[in-house]
Amino acid sequence: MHESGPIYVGIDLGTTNSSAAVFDGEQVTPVRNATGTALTPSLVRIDGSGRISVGHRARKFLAHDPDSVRGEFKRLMGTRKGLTVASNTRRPEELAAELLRALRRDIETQVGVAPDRAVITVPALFELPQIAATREAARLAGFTEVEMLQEPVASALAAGFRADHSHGHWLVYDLGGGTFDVSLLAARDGFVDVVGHDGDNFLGGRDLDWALVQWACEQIEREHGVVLSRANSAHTPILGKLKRALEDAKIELSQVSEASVVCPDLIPHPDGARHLELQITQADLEAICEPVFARTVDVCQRLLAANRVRANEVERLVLVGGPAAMPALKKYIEKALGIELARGYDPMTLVARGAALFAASANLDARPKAPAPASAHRLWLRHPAVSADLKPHVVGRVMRADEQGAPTQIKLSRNDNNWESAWVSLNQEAGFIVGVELIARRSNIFTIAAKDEAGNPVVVDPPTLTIVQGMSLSDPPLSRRIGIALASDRVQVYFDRGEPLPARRTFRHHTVETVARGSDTCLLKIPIVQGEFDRAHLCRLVGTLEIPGTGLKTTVPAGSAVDVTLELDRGGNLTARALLADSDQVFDEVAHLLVPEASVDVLEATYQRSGNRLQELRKAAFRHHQDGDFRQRVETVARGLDGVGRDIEAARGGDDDAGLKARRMLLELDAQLEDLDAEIQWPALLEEAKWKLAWAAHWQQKYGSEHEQRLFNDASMAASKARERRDAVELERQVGLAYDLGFNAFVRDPQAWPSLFEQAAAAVDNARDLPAAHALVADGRDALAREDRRSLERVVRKLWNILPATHKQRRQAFESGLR
Amino acid sequence: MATPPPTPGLRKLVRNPFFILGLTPEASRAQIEREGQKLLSMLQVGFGEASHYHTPLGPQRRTAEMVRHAMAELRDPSRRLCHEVWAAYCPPPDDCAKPVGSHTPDQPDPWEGAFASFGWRMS
Amino acid sequence: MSAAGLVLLCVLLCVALVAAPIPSSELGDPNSPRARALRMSELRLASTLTALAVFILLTLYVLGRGGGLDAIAILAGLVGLALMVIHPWIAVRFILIPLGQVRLVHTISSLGGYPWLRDPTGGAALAATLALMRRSHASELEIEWIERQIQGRPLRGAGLAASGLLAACRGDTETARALLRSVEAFDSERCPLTAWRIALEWQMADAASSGDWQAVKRLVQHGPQPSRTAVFLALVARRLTGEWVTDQKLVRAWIRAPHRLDNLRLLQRALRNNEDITDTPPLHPLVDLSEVAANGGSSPQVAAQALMVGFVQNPRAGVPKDRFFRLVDTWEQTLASTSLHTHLSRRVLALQANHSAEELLEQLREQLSDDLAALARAHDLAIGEATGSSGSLRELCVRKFRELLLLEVESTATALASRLQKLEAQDFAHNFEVVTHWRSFLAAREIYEHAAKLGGESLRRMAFPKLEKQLNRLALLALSRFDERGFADGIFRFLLWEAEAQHNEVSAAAYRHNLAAGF
Ligand SMILES: Nc1ncnc2c1ncn2[C@@H]1O[C@H](COP(=O)(O)OP(=O)(O)OP(=O)(O)O)[C@@H](O)[C@H]1O
Ligand SMILES: [Mg+2]
Repeated sequence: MHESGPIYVGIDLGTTNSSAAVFDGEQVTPVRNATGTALTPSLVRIDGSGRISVGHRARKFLAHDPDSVRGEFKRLMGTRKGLTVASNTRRPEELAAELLRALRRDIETQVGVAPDRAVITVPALFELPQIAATREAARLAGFTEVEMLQEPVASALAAGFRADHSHGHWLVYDLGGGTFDVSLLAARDGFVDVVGHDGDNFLGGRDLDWALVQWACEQIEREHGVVLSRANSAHTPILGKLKRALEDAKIELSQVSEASVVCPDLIPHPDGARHLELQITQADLEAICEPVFARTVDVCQRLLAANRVRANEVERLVLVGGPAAMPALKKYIEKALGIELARGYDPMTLVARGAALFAASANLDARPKAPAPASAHRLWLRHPAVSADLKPHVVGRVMRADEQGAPTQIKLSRNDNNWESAWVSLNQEAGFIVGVELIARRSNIFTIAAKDEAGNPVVVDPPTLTIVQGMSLSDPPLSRRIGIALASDRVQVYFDRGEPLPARRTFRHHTVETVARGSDTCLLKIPIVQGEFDRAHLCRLVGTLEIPGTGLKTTVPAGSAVDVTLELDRGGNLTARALLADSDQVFDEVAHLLVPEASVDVLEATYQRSGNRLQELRKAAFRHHQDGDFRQRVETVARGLDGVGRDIEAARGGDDDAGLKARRMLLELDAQLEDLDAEIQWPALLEEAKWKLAWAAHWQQKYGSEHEQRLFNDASMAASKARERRDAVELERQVGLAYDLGFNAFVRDPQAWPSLFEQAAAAVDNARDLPAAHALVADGRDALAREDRRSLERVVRKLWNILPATHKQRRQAFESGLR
Repeated sequence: MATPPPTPGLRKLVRNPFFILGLTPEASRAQIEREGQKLLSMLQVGFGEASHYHTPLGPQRRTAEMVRHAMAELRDPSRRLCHEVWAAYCPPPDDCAKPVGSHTPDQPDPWEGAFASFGWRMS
Repeated sequence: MSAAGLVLLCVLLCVALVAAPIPSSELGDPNSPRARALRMSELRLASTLTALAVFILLTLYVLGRGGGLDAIAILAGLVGLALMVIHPWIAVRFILIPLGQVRLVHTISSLGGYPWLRDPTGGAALAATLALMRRSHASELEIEWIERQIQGRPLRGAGLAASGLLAACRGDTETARALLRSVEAFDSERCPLTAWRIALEWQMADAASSGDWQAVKRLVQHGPQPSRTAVFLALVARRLTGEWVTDQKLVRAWIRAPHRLDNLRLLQRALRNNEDITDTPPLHPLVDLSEVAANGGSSPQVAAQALMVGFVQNPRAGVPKDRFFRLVDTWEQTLASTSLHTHLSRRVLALQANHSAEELLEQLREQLSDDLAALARAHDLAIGEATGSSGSLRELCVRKFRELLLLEVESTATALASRLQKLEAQDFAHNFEVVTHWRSFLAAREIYEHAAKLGGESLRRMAFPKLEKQLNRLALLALSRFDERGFADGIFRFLLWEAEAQHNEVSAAAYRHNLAAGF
């Protein structure tokens, strides 16, 4: 069927549904599975004897043998978690591989070749370990070369591919089973760019389903007096059944206005199991789903704001994903964003189509490579496979150019015979550059003609080349920012989000600690983090480059230059390299991390901590009379925390995904809490600065030397400047300086040492060496009685030496050894 | 292979996308895409002429990653405008042929035998 | 009779000397290393005296009996042997070290005695290292062996010098430089003069081999009595840097110093250098690129950029600081110029950018101040004290520059703090890698001192407390747990010096207290 042209394959590996599409240069066609539909449920069944069935066939078992069927493994990709399916334990990527294998078979049935190369889509917010796991799944499924593309970029590409050349913005809204992605496109000067994308890794149809379950549980409690809880693992199968029934009802409601949910013997009751019968209407559904919809709208608005685009500047809104079929959603979104929906896109296959188009841009022909005719002269050709530009360049080089009869001149002609290039002579490097002209929105095939020195025609391989004109995206963009955590808890950004891959960058850093050659206690850590936060500790650690003392040729003193190079290949595989500039030594061993597992206890503890912090903040907000906006933000965090609490409960009931979600949410809430903290601390800091400066000024006036007073004035001036700029760090520094000066003056006061002694004596129980400390205190009391200032001073100094120093220590993010 | 990274503070100049692509700040979007695409192809095929670009601070090595990054930077109008400011001054290549940091203070009279003077055979 | 009486007197004197209580009342503990070392040296003095006395007595006796010279020679030989055992350094220095007998040197030097009275273990290691350096090749095995000999003992001057030289043997010149330079930071009580001298000599050789003759001159000035080679090198250095040194003086120094053959070429070179040299090499002419720009370019930013390029291409020309500020001011004018503003506004419209020209200018300003600060830092310009009108690019630049420096010091302090935290949590059995920590201290000090130099007085005052806290903690820990008096004192001394320089009386008094009495 497709023997002539190349075939490009794209696969949308979804949480609930997966699909594939093929592109032949002209048309994108979704791949149908055995049941004739384009969607394959992302379900894998393994029975007792290890037999595997996938998709619709697995789905059939969901009702009567739910334990043998596993779905939603996509969410657990990159974790070490083993999933148990009917007494078999599989890693998430192994299950995903089964699914991919099934899709690969479907493609083979449809186009006649089993694809070797493909593009697989991943959620935009996937991190490196998750992407690596997906890649591994593809390898297990038999693909030799795959590229990853973010789902929103794929749907954007599909939506924008054959766009008429208008100016304006589009929004592509993809609400899937478990993830929400939105991307913003801009059409400018005939080029369509993905300007930005955003999303929520833990928001999707699933949340709608759970909201429905919640609602149903309330109904059950009211009617039957039975409390069903996600934290109770005994209820897990009941809730699972309920959820499936409600999901079906939800889908039904996309067509009709009222649906009923019937589950026989579902409700456990002391008097015996009872039936469940519920009626649900469009209006109910709308009310239940609204909070989820509202969250998606928030993300859209965030994206628009980040790119400074007003909603009324957006021309089209393309809806993608299962829930997009819901009338309630369409209505809500249209109203909340005030943007009209674009029609004519299939929401379920758009992602796969985009992936197939990207496969063409990336030149990933799925067909196995054909051998070249022996007599032909090999050309090494480079050109865009898909080009938005109408006049791209074709660059090539003749291999073995010094051979007899090798071509010396090249000409390209378009197959519609309306354009051909002049004869181009090769340069000294046996290369040539030809500018070609394309027909818009078509697949353009060019024939390559060649002549040798004598002017005789030469057969070349390949004889033709194809360039598709259309929106192109030759390089997959990076989804999340990657950088190096510095000792100061800042991040040196290497690659910003949206950075085209592959990418490589080198920055020069300096070490902050001395690593002695040969020492096994010294280790220089270079933490690689991913995430959008400015403070390193909030970002996710994705790997650490370690330079051990035992591997060093020379001792590396603090302050030495280190050139760190990070490199990402097209699939987002990360390699790192550190070059010690002085000794010319290279280190490239990176400890890669998995997505950290969310142990429920750890989560619980973090949750408690965040809760306490929130309480503190509330109190502080009250104390410092913060305005309404601040309180509102505090309450937003509080709501978020409530959600986390529910997720942790669900995680206790065995829902791993909820645990991961809770982890991520906690991280984000922590960041918000920290922002709020910094804000609320400002007035406290000001207050502290005020009394410290006043205290210091008092003593400076009394006992300060002229020089000291000048220094003091400088410091308080600088402090007030820092206050104007709201520069907390600088303010603290300057106030500290002024305070020290004040202290210097204070000790000249006759009463200073006695009072310092009392202070030290009060803290004596914290001393490192208790007996010595108590002896010193006794000595001090003696001296005090004798009014012997000198010995008192000596005693206080000795006490200071054995009392633990209290100082605020800056956070050294992930023990980073660089600045 | 190991070229040291540009001095911090000079990145905007040394790694200016316009310099990398060999274009003037007035270049159109189509020119940028075309030139970038061409350079990428040339680099892949291994053309020597594509391996360096000119900056006011002397020639620099060009890599495919730089070209790709430069194209992405210039697609965003606001970022492009900032780069335009930095690309305003580029003297012709022969004026700036001297690479950065070639200035080395002259060392007077090193004495290789200094350690041997003390009887030490190795330093 | 009178002779026998003399001997008796002598022996009694010696016994009294050894048996007498140690004079220093501060040495309360008779088992302290210091007390033991003192007793040992007294014993040595006594036995030397006894040996000499016995020799004189026996000589008199032999002469009285009419014995021949040969008998006296045998006697002298025997006494010489005894002296050799009492003072091993003689044999070690003139025979064993030149032969490169590392382990033998170490064993014999471990007997103690001059010149390692103040650091016997370190001294033995240093002597072994000197022997090692006489070989044409140092094996890692040998280096590690010597290192093991000093491990786990409190670090003192000679041990430090040995560590430095061993680093040099390994080819880790940077570490060697840092360690050997720091030998003088050790209290003379804990640092044998010879160790200090050797450290200085290595530094001189290092400086000479890179042609830094000024440093050679400087090094010889503040050290202890220099060796003959050091004197010769210093004279050569003076001659090579243009000072007047007579030929005779040079030749005489050359003749006196050992390794004459090795030094002959250097002598010749010095003798050839008999005219005064001008000490300032011609400066590269400063191209005024702004003029170039004024003629050629029409846009305002061209001038600023041309200045920047000029600065980077020739950073040492003229007065770098002034040129730098001219650059900053030119940028300031550029950012304020209407032509740039109109140009940007036009381009914003043309490209449909979603930022206004004002916002872009603000962004540029922010980036520029970062870049210029980084540039100043990269070229080590001391602009930390400079002031500019409030809100100017100059002020912004200086502030960011200071921020960079402070961050350097603070990050170092943070790292030190977390390492200390780990150390404090360790159990007592763990040993303290004292040389590593010393190196750490030196590096931190260097970072601080460099920042203080570039940032000026106020930055120095601001940066100090951060580092001070951690260094003080490190010193206290080393002292209280590991008995590293020399190490701790080295740090206290630095802290004291800084506190005094900053007129911080409270801190200064604390360090003086720590230095004087311990706790
Ligand atoms: N007709 C419909 N009406 C309403 N909801 C639907 C409909 N069809 C599917 N859904 C819901 O859509 C979700 C699945 O959507 P989709 O297939 O787009 O997700 P996915 O691509 O597998 O997930 P993801 O993109 O997050 O990996 C499920 O929650 C399902 O309940
Ligand atoms: Mg999807």
